[in-house]
Amino acid sequence: MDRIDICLMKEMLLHAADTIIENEPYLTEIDTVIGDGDHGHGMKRGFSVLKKYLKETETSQIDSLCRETGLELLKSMGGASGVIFGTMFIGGAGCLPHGTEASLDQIAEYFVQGEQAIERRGRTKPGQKTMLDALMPAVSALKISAGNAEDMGTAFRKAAQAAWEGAQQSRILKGSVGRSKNFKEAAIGLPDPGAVSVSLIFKAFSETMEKEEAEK
Amino acid sequence: MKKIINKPENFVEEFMEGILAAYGDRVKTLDPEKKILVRSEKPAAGKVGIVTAGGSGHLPVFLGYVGAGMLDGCAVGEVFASPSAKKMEDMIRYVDQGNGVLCLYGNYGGDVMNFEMACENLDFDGIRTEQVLVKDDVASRPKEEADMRRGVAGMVYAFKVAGAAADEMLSLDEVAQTAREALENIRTMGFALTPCIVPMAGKATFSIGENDLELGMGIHGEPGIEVCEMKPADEIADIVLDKLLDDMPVASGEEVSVMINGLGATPLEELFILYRRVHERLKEKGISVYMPHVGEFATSMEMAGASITVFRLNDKMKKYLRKAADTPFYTNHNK
Repeated sequence: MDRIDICLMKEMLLHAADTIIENEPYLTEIDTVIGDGDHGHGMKRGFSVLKKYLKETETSQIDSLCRETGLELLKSMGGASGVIFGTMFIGGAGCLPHGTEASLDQIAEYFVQGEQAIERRGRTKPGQKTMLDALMPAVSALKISAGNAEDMGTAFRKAAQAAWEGAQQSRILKGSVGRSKNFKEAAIGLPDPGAVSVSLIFKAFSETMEKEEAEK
Repeated sequence: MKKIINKPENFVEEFMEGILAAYGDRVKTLDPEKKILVRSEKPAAGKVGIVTAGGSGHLPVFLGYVGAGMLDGCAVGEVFASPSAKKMEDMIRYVDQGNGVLCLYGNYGGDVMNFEMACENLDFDGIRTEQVLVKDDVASRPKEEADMRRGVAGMVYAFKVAGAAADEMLSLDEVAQTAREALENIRTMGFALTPCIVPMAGKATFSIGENDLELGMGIHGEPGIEVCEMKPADEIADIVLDKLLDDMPVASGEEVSVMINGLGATPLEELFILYRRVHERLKEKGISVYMPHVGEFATSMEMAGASITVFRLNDKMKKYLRKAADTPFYTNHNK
């Protein structure tokens, strides 16, 4: 498979929404130690609204779908997470075609631009115990796979793996921005809740892709 | 957790309903989610609008200062979380009377990112905004990093001064400049005795030892500069006042306003015991106090503790502090 069509994109986003909603207790648990305990609830609220939107929308343009996904999160979540996760989906929407499908090159560039938009908005770089510690490795993996002309399934499997590893590596970081900065050394040992959320989203993307491939 | 609530997830919606039921003659909300609170009457034609926004859990901050002589609107977030950029944008659009809107709010990541996003969208449509961030908490960062400090109770003075300046029909730049000028002369530091509980979390997400005092703790439980043994009121007042005056020297013969702010679970009596000492110390230094504010102005749910704010005044600031303000949660008639 070398292209994602609008139906598959929608499936991926729906599965990501379900995965975040299911994992709310875990996200809450880590954020209760490292933040102020609201990350899980905020994510669940946003992705529940997104799920409803995805089920009702009839858009057939992949760029609109992705942009609207970000806007739904932005509107419903609030907090820093609302802007950050909204920007993850809005920031690079201009790289996607106004059509029914996108290539791996376009998808990779979409997520790269989204990541960079978050860096600008939050004045943050990877390495500061934030969601970027999972997103950066994931988008890099997508970019490399695109460069090597790998298939979609492989690309997303590697991206999910990279995001997971990034989230795990955020355990050893001490927070210097965002809410976790207040816990500095005390935050060491736990992954950043935002990074875990990114990892869950990419895991869901990869699972949807695998399912799609198995069915073909 | 023992709280007077129904369901934790309805916390914000239900207190907003209570506020609208109580003060619906003076304030109203613009959206079905009741997250955008504005004055019932539209701002006077040509007046610069002043808005703020922030997470819930700090009443009277933030929305309590929406009213005559102070703010025109406030976007309300979940407990300790910024409202969305969309709510801010809708609020500013409503408040703008053609001469622009000042966004005056505390320096917290979520609020900054959402306001910036909202203002970029508004700029696109030709609506002018200025952003002034409150960074009065001296304990949150050392002086060299003052630009990264958090905003706490001192913002109430900024709301007051900016509101009065806007009522004099000054331009957006002038109102923003007045707010910045006030903030350059405002310093706050707090201390906590017990933690607070976010309803959705259901338990305290940080702890303070039974006999401990956390100096410099933030209004969301951000760790302070030092945890020490509980001390008598006078010693606490001295430590905090010294810190404030060290950061912002005030000369003999100058005038200041002082705010002793309870964080939610501190009796007023104890706040006056603190004020007594602060007043005495300032008098010794030849500094007089104008319009002291003692009470709850910026709280942190059921946190016990207080903050002390010093606002160094000049004639202009005194005039703005004195100009009438009357909101559902604040008045200066009694000060």
